[in-house]
Amino acid sequence: MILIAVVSMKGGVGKTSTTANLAAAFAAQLGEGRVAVLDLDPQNSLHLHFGLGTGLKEGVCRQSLTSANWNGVSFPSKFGVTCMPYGEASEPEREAFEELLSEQPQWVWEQLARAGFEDDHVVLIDTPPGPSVYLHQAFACADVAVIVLLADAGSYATIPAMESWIDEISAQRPSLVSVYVLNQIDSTVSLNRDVSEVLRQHLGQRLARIGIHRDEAVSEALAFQQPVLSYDPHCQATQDVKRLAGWLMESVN
Amino acid sequence: MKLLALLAQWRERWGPSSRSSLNPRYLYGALNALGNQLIDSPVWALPGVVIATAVGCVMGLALITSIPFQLSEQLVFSVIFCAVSLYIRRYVGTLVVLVLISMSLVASTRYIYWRFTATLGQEFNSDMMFGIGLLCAELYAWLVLVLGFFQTSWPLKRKPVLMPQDLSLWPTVDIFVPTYNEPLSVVRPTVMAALALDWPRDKIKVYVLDDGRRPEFREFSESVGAVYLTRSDNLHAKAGNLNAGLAVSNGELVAIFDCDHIPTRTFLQTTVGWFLEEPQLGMLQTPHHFLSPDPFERNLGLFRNMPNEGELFYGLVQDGNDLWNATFFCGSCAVLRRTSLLAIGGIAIETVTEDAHTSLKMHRLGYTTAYIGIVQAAGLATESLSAHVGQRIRWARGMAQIFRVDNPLMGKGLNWQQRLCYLNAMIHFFYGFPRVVFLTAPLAYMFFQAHIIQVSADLIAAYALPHLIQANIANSRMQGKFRHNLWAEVYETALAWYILVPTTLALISPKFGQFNVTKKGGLVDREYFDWRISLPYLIILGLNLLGLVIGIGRLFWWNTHEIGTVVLNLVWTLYNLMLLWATLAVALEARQIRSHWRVQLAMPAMVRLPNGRTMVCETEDFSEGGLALKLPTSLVLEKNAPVSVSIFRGEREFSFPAVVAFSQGAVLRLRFEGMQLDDYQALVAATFSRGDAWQEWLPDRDTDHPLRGFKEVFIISRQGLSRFLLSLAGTIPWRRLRVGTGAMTWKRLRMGIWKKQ
Repeated sequence: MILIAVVSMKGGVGKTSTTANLAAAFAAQLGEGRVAVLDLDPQNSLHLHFGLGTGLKEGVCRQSLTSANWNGVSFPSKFGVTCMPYGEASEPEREAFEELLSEQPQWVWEQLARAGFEDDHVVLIDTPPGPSVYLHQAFACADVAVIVLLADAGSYATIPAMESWIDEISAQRPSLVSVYVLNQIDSTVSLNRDVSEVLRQHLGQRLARIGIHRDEAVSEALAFQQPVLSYDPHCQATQDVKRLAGWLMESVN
Repeated sequence: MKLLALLAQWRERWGPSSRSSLNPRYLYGALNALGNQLIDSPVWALPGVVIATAVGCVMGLALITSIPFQLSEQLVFSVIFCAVSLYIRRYVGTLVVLVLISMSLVASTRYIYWRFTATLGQEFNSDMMFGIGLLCAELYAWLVLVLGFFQTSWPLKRKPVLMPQDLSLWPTVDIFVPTYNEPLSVVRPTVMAALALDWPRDKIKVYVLDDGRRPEFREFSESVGAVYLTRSDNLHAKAGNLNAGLAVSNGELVAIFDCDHIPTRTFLQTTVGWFLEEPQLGMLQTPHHFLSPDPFERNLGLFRNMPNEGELFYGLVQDGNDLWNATFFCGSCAVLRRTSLLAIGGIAIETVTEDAHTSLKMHRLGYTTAYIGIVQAAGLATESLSAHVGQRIRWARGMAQIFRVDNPLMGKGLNWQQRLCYLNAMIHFFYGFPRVVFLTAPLAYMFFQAHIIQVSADLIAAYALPHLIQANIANSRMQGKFRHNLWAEVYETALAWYILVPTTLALISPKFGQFNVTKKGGLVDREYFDWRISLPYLIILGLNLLGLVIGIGRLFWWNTHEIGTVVLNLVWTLYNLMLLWATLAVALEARQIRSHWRVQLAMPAMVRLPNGRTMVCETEDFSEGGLALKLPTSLVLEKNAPVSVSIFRGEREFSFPAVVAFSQGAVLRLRFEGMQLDDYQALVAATFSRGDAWQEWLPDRDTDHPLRGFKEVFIISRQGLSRFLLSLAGTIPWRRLRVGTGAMTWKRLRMGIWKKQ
């Protein structure tokens, strides 16, 4: 099982969309049933990208509190991606879950192992922005951390904090591969272009050569509850995500 | 029907597919094995064997060219020769080329020898006068053939030398872009691309050498970071301009680009390696590649289908010269070493072809030159037939001047191979005289019943045909990719008359004539027939037509006792007429309404639509004004809708503001709008400057098929005839004549025909 954690220090950088689209791209490459997504964000929105919106209440939060297997909340989607949503949760339930996670740092890893994923499966984990127990859990087991950035001043400002954190985790888990990915690139905007250039110089090899372009199709795809790959197969964002997935696959192997 | 089926089967059996040169039989067949055995044989190591073989070959050649044959013997000899060469030409390998060359040499030399000894007649009269004239022309053709074989038999195909890792070893380079009267729009991309060359920034300087003293050039150069230079006089034209640049710069190497030759960013890294490798190297030339069609290609609609004049030179001749250390400098897209250049006193100023003369002077001083046949720059071709003719006149005049003032056969410092290569380059430009002779020779018989070859027609055919056929087979095998024989005839025919006079004048007085700048980047706003330039051909054409009529008379009534001779001259006349009509088609200038040439190049691209959506696509063509995109799916956009378009070069993205110019289905044509100077710089970097920009254009096209070529020229020539007649009709003011509907129908017909073309 290859575990990919999608993280960011800041909200609103398109992390959940990126997780969903990357998962769909992996599914397109690897074939049906080999790709799953795990939503560790209490916003509970990842499953919306896979057309699983209506009536889906169950999720890993409650399931964990009842100590039941996560298999029970693995929902197949028509995009070839199995989805494990966060699920609806009351405030006390969320607090209880977070307490559980902080007490048992390997909880997510154990549950995923129990769920019976095989060696050639890929699981993507969506996390809430910034430091949290969820992020700790993801970092504790991930093979690859994909750090999503925007080419703007806000994202740029968060880089030192993220870097020191990554350094810390890398010291404990040297096998963790971390890679920064630029999202919503728009080279017609000069600020966007300039910040991209600065980031490229600052991060060097750690910045993925392939970024994802700003594309209305990405938000429209969410409105139609599907990954951008199936919503608009010809748009640039689709191509970027596909190439990024291929590149990630190559660098993991 | 049965016959047709049989024919189809025959075609299938013997058609082009079955005789592919990739057929393993021709790669590893018994003949190849035999050839390899011969080459690897230990016999060659024995002392004296090589010399003995050479002497034997020369004696054999002398013997075989000089034995007189009866008609039947000559026929058998020819048939055997022809059959053997047609068979072995399919086999790959240089040895096969050399065998074909030898066979062609035998057939042609035998023909010339026979012409000298058996065809001139005994008494000196007008027949003999004509005969000697024709023989001189044929002797010239033979000499060019032999020298051409020598020059191109073994292309060196030099590869680039990698630059060292240590940047401090890289030499400093000055880039010269000389200009005189070309518009800024032509010069701008060149300067921008020169500035974008991949080279350490502190080791490269771009100089705009403006002999036109134009303030807007100064302003532009300074705004992009190039050095602007000008001088008080325009002495010695381009050569003087370059020398003035040399005087105030100090780079170790000098790269020269004509102001419309846009270099790719890899140019220096591909070429400079050899200067580090070879301390004696004085000059390295790369091909001139044209992104717009020359008047022949444009007016005949042949662009990119047929190799043009330059391709033989850059594809084969220069590569062949390189083997003999005789690569010529061609004035642009080349790198020169400053010390070697200063040793010969700068760029040569004595002639109007300063380039070839400069390399000649370098060779005399013992410097070497090199050629790398990788297209590293692209430029504009001449814009009209008259401009093309003007340029060729300059080359021809310059070559004749060098022949007079610094003859490569004479003087110190050259080895015989270099002398021969230069000699061929120079006498190549004397084709005016023989060409005109060939175009008029049959008329001597038609008009005056002069027997310029004083033997029977069947004997002429038996000697001349193998000469022509063997030369064609050998040439199409060697040069087929770079030159189609018959098309070359059309090119030469069109230029012959104009080259005849200046070369002759320059031979008599080398001082005559001045440098004329080739006009480029202009427009032809409506189709027109260039009467002025085609007048000599119209006259020759008229004479040939008259000859044809008389010939038919001779065939049926007046000369029935020598039908063979009449038929021979008639066929010759018809062939000449075909060439002349094709030439006229060139003189009919097709419309050229675009101010920027659209360059066909597929590059990965993206278009950002007004609604914020994007689409991955590929460029179809681009120009400085806009580009065309091939979309993956159909899309309808409003005209003038604002979009942005990105071109990718590796992972680098260059984006440009544009508006929709045309949108239908999967085709989207955009016009750049609101481009600033740095946008143009980005455009050059994304397009012209790409290292892989012209890779696909190295002649990867059909090889010469002499018979198919004949058909094509025939079609073009027929078109030339009809278009000429229509154009003639077009000069009559129909409206004013008010001849009514007939004229209107005629006019509509004409429009229809033109639209089809």
